Amino acid sequence: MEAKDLSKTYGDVNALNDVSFSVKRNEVFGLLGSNGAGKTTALKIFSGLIRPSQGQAYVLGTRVVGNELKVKANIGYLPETPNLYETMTGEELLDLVATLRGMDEESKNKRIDYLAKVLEIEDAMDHQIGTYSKGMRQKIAFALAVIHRPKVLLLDEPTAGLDPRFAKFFKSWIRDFGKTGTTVLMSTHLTLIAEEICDRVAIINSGSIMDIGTVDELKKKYSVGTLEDVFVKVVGGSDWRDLLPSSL
Amino acid sequence: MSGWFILLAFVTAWACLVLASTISQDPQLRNSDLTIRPETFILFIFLILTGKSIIDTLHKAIESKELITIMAQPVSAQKVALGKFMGILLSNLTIVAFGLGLMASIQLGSFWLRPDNPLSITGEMPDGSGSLWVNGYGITHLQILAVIIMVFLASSMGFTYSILNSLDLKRRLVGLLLYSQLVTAIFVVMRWNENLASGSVQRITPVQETLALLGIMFLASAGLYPTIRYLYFEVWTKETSGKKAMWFQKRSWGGLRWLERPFSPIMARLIKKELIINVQKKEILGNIIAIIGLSALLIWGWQRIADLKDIPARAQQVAYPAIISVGIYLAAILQCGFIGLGSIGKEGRKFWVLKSLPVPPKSVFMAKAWAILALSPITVLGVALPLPFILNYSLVWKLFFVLMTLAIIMTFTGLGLIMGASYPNFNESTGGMPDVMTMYLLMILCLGFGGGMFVFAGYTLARDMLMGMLATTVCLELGFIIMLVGINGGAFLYSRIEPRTA
Repeated sequence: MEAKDLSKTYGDVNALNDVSFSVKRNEVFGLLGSNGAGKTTALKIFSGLIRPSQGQAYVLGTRVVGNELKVKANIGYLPETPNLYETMTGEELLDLVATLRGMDEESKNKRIDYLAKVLEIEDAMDHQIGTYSKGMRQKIAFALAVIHRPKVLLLDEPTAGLDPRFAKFFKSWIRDFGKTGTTVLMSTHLTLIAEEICDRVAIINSGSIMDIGTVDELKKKYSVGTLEDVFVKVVGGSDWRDLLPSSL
Repeated sequence: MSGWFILLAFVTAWACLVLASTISQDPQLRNSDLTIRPETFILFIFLILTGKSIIDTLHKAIESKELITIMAQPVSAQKVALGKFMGILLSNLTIVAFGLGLMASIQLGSFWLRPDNPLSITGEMPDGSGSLWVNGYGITHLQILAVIIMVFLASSMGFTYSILNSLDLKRRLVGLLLYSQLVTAIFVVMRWNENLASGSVQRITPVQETLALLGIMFLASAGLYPTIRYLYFEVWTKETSGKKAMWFQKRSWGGLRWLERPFSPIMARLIKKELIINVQKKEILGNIIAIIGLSALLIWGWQRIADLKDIPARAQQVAYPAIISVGIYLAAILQCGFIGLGSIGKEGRKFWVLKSLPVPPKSVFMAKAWAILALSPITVLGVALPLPFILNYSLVWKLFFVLMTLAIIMTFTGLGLIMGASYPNFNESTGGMPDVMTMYLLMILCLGFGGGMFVFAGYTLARDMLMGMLATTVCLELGFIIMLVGINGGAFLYSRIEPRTA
């Protein structure tokens, strides 16, 4: 994947400002930034949901703008807040997406059963999504993104809402994607997550890329021990103790 | 859009005033038995506002998940419900005030522009009799008070009905049975003087009529209080907690797999998704009830005209087909136009699901159109057929109304889809429906197209059967073309929409 001088403006707000980076094949690449930094906007451009105001995005060598259908066929997208059809059952929604992605009946049913089992939502598959907890919705949304074994995964805050057990499971699953031929571009505001699973990280702030590198490269460059300290130094914040008010 | 709305509001108000003035000034109609009393008009306002209140309550007070933020605060659920009710009441009062004010201002304007022949609504008639309403009935202060009382009644009864309708079956039936008595009482009061068969039963005076309405309002308020106090929170919790899957959604039932026979697997899934979302929405059930009510109203209208002795023969020839056409228009607007209008908006924050998939926009819109068409036989059977059978129309005319209904359904579906894609409203508290201005614009567009088709084909059929059927076929094809334009245009616009949230 490649972003070339990507910019996105919403009225007076510059969500993205001349952003350029590339993601290698089979790499797990993290976009690390605080809320409102532009991570979700970047992912949406790569997924073809929105068009950049300037610049271009490429997925598997194909320009996204103008080739949305071709790009969407090869990607899986997990949004930050997966709003789902409340009146459909989990199985219906997975069946819908799998069919729309051209999966044949047999492989589709096998895949749905497998994902339901692995994600431990078998009992809920016949219930309407409106009855699901936040964690279950995240699991269904994750299943939607991976049901067709995409070549590229776009994950926006993938561990949000999950219990610690499944958060750990997701992290190892994402790490394994890279090894099994899937390129992953994920966004997170949690430095621990990025440190644990990303091959390379881009620190993004106020719509601009501040720095890019492997976690070790960044730690060495800024002479700090953790990615969290790298982030604070790069983004330009004070020591966290100085941020606390004298009384809460 | 605001400019369009203001222009259309004025044009419609002017057209209504001209029509009412023409009817009231026509000597033949004035001397006939036709009695369009103010009570009929007020009853009409009550019915429309009750329907609006039911839907507003459902979207804003019952199914609204945004309320969880308010409910989590130290505010009682009763106060939340009362606040929602007041919001609905105020919006109804505003609409009625706007409508009456507009008509009054246009009438005043006509006095200034045409002092010799103004639109006489409340002025004196040439023969010295009353005003808009023939047979000498004028609009009095008590009737204006009745309008205000009706707005209160419509708001409170619509609010209560919507909550009762969300309870379990037993309590729902008991509640609706009790409330239907109030609706019956309103009808009896408002229609009392008109339905007097002989002089043995006394007429009620306007003061008595107003006092009766106040009494009904008191009873309705007495029903509203326990609904808000004891039932609202239970209903809100239930509606926002999700429901069990319907029987056809379970894997063991095959989940509407029969759709895959006429359609490809992709199209079948898309249509199924639309049907599941639409059928579960209470508006569809409400629309079906409205259509049944509409059929009953048409039959009542036919009966009223049938009672007229001196109405001109030419008017009689047009009146019955006009009644049927109006009924088809209203039913098709509800079942096809408005549903198409909200087809994109109702996706709400789920819009990203289909947008992120490699599905051609045209397929998405074809599925939306097919889902609307799948529900349209209800319209055909419910509205188009009863009167032609009761009136013993020939087979040709029955066929005409069925074919024209199909043409209207396709036309309104296409217009609704393209307007819905042009002005999508992703606000889930409105159920995805665009604002009232857009709805109004759609109604006018549909009226233009539908009215033109009916007049063209109906007039031709009245003069020559063969040419008439040809004209009807032309209308059918035109409806199909408009639907295709709606699908393709809507698909193009849909591909340009960028979801702001996912």
